Amino acid sequence: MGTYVLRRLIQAVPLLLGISIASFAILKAIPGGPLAAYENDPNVTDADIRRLEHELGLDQPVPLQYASWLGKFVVGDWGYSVVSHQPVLRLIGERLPNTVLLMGTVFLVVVLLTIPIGTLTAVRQYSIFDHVTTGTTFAFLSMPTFWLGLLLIIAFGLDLRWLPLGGMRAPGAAGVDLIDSARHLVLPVATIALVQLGSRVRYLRASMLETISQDFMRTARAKGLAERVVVLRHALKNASIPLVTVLALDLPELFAGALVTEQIFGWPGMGRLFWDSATRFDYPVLMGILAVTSTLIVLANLFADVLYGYLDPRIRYG
Amino acid sequence: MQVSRLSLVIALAFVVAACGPSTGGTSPSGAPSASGGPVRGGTLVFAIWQEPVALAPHLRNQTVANVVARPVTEGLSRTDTDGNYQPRLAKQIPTTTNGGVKLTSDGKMDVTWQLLPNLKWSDGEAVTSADIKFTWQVWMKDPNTISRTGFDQIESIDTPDDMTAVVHYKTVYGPYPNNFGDGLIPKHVLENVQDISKSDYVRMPLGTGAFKITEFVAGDHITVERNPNYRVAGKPYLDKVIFRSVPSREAAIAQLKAGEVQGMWNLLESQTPDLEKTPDVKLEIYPSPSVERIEMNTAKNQDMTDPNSVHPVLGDINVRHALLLATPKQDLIDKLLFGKAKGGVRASISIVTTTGDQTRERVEQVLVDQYKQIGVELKIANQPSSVLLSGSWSAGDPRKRGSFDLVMYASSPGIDPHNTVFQRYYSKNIPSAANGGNGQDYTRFKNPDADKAIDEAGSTLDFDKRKSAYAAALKLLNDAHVIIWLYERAGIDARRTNVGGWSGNVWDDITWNQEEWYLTAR
Repeated sequence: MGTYVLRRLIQAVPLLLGISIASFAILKAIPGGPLAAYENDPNVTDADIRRLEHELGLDQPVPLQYASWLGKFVVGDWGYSVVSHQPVLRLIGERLPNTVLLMGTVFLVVVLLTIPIGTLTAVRQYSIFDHVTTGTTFAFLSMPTFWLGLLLIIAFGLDLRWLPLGGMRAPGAAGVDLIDSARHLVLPVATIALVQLGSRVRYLRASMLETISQDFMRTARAKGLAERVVVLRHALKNASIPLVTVLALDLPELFAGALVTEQIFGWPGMGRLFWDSATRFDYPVLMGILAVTSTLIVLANLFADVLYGYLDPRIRYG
Repeated sequence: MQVSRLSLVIALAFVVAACGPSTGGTSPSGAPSASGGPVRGGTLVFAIWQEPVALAPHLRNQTVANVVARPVTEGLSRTDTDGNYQPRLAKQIPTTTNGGVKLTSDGKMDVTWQLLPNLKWSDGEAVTSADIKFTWQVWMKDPNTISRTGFDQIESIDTPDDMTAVVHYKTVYGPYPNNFGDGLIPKHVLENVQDISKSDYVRMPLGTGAFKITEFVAGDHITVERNPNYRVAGKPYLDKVIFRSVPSREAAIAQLKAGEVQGMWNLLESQTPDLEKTPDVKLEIYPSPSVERIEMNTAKNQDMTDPNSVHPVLGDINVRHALLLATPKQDLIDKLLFGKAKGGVRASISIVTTTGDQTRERVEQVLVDQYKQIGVELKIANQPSSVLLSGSWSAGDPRKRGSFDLVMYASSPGIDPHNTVFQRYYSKNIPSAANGGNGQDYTRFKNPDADKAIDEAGSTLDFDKRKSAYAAALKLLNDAHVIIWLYERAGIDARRTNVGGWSGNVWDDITWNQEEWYLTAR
């Protein structure tokens, strides 16, 4: 197992390098640049633009710009935003806790709801509960988050006035106010969780149905075990293996955040930082986020594979 | 009987509502809160939907950053609602008449600024003329300074005493009164800082204004609080202003209606009908210097290798005149014989504007129809604003490269017209391969008399002389029919009716007089 993990880690290096080259090339291929924002200022002269281009290294050939970014990045220098001049690490650091709070809550809600709902729909296949759940989850699965989010804002924020329209805390709220934070979390969490829940529940249901029809289930029942024990101990444990893989692959989202939802709800997280940086052509910030996200995705894949082997002893890596 | 009883019930309901606690402080008629006069105290929440990246005076460029920082960092002068310079930290605006400006025989000029007595930074330190000198030095030294316009005309600054700074300009520089208008930079805080653009000062600049920045939470909010060392007793009225980050203009409107925020700025014309009907919300609409125009390229060729080339269609002033007449008003169409007079040759040109702007796209549709009637085929070829308005030769701005026929966009001049007129209408500012893409004379308008008039306007401080010289240059520009001026954009702000003291300024950001703002009970 140790050599397997090591080999995968070594393989990841050229992969990540390739991803970073592709990301940089794509970012640079988008027409426009960070200095376009200065166009509306009648006081900004061409000499100013050329000086800034030079200062920010934007007048260098693209391969050189990439090499210079990579050279610093590998020794831990993530660079500075070309717009706000703040260190990229600081910009990420101030958004990361907010995204972990949002996506962590989503993750918990999804896990805690998927297991009972997914199990029940499979055990009671073709019941009314199964039909209703399958229909509802499929409906949510098909909904774009930007649309669902706006619907929730209109219903619970504007019409009913139960929940705030956006943001992370009430304006002027001092210190930590758990109730206020929870109120602000409800709608964005619901938006992402409802959509994610759809696919996860359907995943577990399918896997449960397959497991339930296996021979060892009949053996367990024949041994005289209680139905509860049969379902939870024997069926769910085996059926959840593919689900665990799917959830492990969700982990990078804890860092990357939810681009659309954070934008709709004005959540000051990583997704919004990425969006804002993209609209401003803030290359160092975008590269920093992309580098971490791609690394996490590669690691999460490895983690899922290792976890799979741990949960299912029949799978061996060599 | 039935009817009168009903009306009685309704009337009673109104009385109850009027006496209810919810309408407490204000008159039930919804009259503007100004009736009560300014009130001290309170927190106002102001919606912003772009993220201010830098608030330091020499590093900020976004409108949203100016909106947030205007009440914090003050300069020597500001512009009032009528477009007049007002002294801010200075005793008066130096002029040739009051002896503050002296023209020297070698074509240079000296401007003497006198600071107000007993000025303090919000941390309690004294403001001195050394800060004026330091401000110029930072502006010129920091490589990330956005615009050095004006500061690059300064040769040196003398500080004979703590209250006086003598600014020696290399040339006669007309816009000198607002050269130091964006904000002084505190020497005592930054003189030993190596790289200011990477320091905390970028986000939380220290100023002399009515408010000081106490919190900068990226992507969430920026809080400014009353500056205890503010020079005007009794001001500001508000204790605190929270600039709250919201996802979009639409979200800001929703939060304004819900009362979660009390003020916002920069609405679109199309959003006003809805808000006009909303109770407790007041709209303020005033002119802005931004003018939507169509510029015509008179010298199209490959990458502007030849600045003297002539556009095959738009090089003809009669065609330009025809397009101008065909553009704004339908009843002018019958005068448009020029297009047909070209011997039945169908002219075909293209128009470019920013993608995703509904108003502009509709204007284009109208133009396609209108121009067809005078025998000109118009093709629409829009580009994203990051390309079209990049203002950079290397980023391929089509206006710079001259690779367009008609371009539609908006632009506003500064309070002093010189930079705009010089950059846009002076013949040496035609961007071309030869000059490295310098200048913004995108129509390739070229007229030696206009150049002369602009030179004249720039070399004198005599207000009337400058005015007539600019007018002469702009008349020549208009006679050349190279720009179709479409319409003036409006500045539209909205606030809850319990906000007072708020006043839109054509020449400045909405927060220009935030020390006068106050909140009354709802």
